[in-house]
Amino acid sequence: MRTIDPDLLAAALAEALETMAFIGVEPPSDPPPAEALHVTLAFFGPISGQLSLRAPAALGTTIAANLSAVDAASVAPAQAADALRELTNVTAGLLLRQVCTTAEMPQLAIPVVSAAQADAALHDACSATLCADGHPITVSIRTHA
Amino acid sequence: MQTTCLIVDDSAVIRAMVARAVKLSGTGVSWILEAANGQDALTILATVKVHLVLSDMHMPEMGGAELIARMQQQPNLRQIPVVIVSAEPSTQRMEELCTHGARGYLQKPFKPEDIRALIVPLLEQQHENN
Repeated sequence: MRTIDPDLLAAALAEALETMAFIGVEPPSDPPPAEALHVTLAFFGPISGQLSLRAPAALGTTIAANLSAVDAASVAPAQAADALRELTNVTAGLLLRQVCTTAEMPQLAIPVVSAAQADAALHDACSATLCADGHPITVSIRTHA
Repeated sequence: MQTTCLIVDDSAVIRAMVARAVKLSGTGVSWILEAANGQDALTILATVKVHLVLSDMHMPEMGGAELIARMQQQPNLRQIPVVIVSAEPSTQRMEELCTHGARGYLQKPFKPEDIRALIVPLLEQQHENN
């Protein structure tokens, strides 16, 4: 199992939010609520594992609105989930470029969205929680040997 | 001359973002089409004259690598420049796609000016060829 610095994880998420959606981050006050959306992205290759992201749908709405340059009121729930999926994808790409050598670089699967659920394995994963546009967002990574 | 760009990505939000970046690039693209995967892109390419394709790499049904391979097999599609726009972490894999027909790549996240720098020379070349 690869040990990943939580600061690198937080930095990848912050860069993805700022560059993609012009959203700055701050330290969190609370973890994401139970009804938050849960996005998982598997990666496989010399290093394999899973990157997970939990955030309220409202943050997905803000990201989708910023990406598409539309009013948040016109963003459909599917677009909010789509935006969080893409945020997970971009965060994974940024992080893996930082922590893997060229020879180790894994392939990314397609991210999957679900309702947030307790995932015991995530308690052992490296994780970081930030506050983005007033919403808590947690990103976690778990690697296999 | 009408310049047409096809954006291929399974994320509708990202298609909208890329479309906006292309519109803001000042490259004179007058018509933007969208497809959710490589298969849908080939259906569009069979009926519409497209000058530039911006495609994601990892998509359900057909990804960017297979789209490029299929386009390379068809003489009428081989000359259309394809740029890969992806969160793919491996620069090596992106560069491999360039040896198989892609004309450039952009790693997400990107800024609108990055798209402009990449597509301006490709569209200029397309205009010269036409």
